[in-house]
Amino acid sequence: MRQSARRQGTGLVVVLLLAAGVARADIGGLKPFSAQLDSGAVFVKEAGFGHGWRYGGGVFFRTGKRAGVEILLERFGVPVEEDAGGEPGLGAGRMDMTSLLFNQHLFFLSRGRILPYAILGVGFCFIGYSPDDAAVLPEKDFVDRLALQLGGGLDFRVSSGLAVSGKVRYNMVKTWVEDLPRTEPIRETDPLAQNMLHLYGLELSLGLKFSF
Amino acid sequence: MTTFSTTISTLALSLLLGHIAVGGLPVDTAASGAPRLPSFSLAAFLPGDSAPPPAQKAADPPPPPRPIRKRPLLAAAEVAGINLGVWAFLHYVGDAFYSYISWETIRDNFRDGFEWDRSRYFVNFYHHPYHGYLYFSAGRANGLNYWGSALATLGGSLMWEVVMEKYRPSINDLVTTTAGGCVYGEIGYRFSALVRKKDARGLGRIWREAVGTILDPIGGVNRLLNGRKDSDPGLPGSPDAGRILNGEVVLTGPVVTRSAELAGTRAAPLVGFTLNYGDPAGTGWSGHPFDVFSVKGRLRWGPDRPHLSLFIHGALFGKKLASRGGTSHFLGLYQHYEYYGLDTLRVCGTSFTGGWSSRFKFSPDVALTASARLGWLGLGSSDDFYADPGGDRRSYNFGTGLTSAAEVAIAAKGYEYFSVIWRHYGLYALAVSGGRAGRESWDILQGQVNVPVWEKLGVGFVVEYCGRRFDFKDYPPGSRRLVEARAFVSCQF
Repeated sequence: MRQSARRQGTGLVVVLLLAAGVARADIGGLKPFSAQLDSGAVFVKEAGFGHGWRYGGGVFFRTGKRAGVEILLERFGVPVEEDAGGEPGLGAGRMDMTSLLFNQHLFFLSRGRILPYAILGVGFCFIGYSPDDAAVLPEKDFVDRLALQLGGGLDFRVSSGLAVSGKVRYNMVKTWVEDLPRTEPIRETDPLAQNMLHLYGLELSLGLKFSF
Repeated sequence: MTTFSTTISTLALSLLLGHIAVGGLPVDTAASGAPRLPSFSLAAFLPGDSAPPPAQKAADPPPPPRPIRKRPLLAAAEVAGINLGVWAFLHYVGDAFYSYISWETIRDNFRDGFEWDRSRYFVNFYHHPYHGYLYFSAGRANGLNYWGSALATLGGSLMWEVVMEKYRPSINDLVTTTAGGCVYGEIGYRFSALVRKKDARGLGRIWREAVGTILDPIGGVNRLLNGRKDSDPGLPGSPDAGRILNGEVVLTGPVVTRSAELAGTRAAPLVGFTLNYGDPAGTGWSGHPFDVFSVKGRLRWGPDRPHLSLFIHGALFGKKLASRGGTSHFLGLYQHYEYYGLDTLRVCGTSFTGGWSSRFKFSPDVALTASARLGWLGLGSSDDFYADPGGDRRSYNFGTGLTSAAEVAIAAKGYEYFSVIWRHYGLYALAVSGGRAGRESWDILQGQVNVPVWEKLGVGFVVEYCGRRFDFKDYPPGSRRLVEARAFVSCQF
């Protein structure tokens, strides 16, 4: 038991030393422009909503020594149970969300192989719903929303032009389900009188970043 | 949130006034022979360091203008960040119904265009300018001048109106946020430059940075993020900041109010202040907007709730005319933001006037200062007491028209003994958003006598008259008048 713990401890120290050595290797600061592709999993917190896969792509502009803006288009889909989120009449089906994200990245380090950062931004979320029974036209739909994005990530720079990027992000959508067809502009609907759904999605992604 | 921030900033200004200590006169004021009105520098009153003696300060040559790095893109990003931050707070913490926005609401807002918004009176004419204050502060904090920061304020307000609320953009919010924000923002920036001090350390630094951040919020945040570099804008030595101010703090007991038409006599305590930044007669004018401005404010408790009044005007353009024998004259184009509030009479507006200000010296110790202004009241508003007199204060008329003002003051040995102020607003109601068609005329007259008792402390008596004549469509013409008389204790500086 003690030997196993010692072996694990030694292994951890070696890994940390190796990581520190890799991190210290200086391959320059952030490049001005990057293109990125990523994919991963999404878990929606609201009751009755499942988890699914997400994918996305976009660009990143460095705006400062430790800051940059990411513009990303992403899409994911998750299964929806009947009456999910306490919404009566919502049949089992699938929710798809396409989001246009504007995220500020704030880097804790300005150079090196490993660049951790915080993510703060907003996303225009276009939410679609399709019932499982393809023969039935949907009578309800989710209302599109602007949503806050909070999270963090870590770029492991393989070279000055290529990085492997891992991110964890919360997509904080507050919306409701409306009956179709809509009869008046959405601004006339009182949101506080609706059954509010907190479709807060935890998104985990891994991707590649090509810098120029 | 806005209410809280507004209250904090108002309180901070009051606290500042309570800590003012003696500083020096502007160099060119002394050189021109202008009367030695007692002057104070805010840079001297915070703990941790001491102010230079006035004689030494007067002997120093003016610091050479130091170029400030302009960062317009960062200013724009910070303006957008302010909007997103306020929206996130309102949406996730406040759950404000108007914060539920999407691509669709933005598209609809672009398609449908502007409308008139009827939020509560205080929200529309005090909170919105404070929001504009933050945009302006972002511009100033990134090295933009007054006009660049004004553009940032307009852009920020436009973004908020079109993008960040689900309702149609409001034309009156755009005007009050931009115009009021420029006025609040510039005076906040100027005051912050009086408080912050290069090379301050320890407790003095902490106090200065904290108070400077309240006065210039985004500048304070930037200084915190970039390590409080002393080369930043907003510090003494910046080309258009860091002048001397003088003024007065007034505290009264219960105010006796009488009205010919409004029944009864009521009482309310009051605290007021006057700050004159730069010389209204033009000494020291260097051609930058708000090199000369005046802030007159007061907060009275009751009789129903606290009421704030603010009269701010600053010179945008000006020309100092040749003078001799200590007499000086100044011709200027002024920007105003004014908010006059009592329990029974409320009027406010943003305006632009042309006017002059002169100081005549009768002897080395006695001076008379007189000024007059006349101009356009761009967007004003007055309460509509015909509708919802005791409700949630959404009943008011928008208007445009003329405004004028005149002021006379007599000072001896640097102490102001006597002053008379008159303000006039001629409002033509725009009859929008349920407002009443018609016109009205406001006159506010204030006469004050002040006598020194011990050093800068004095006692005095003031009489204030507010008259309102109105002629609204479908209603008989009429008037309202209110007269107040109050004794006070004052501290001139």
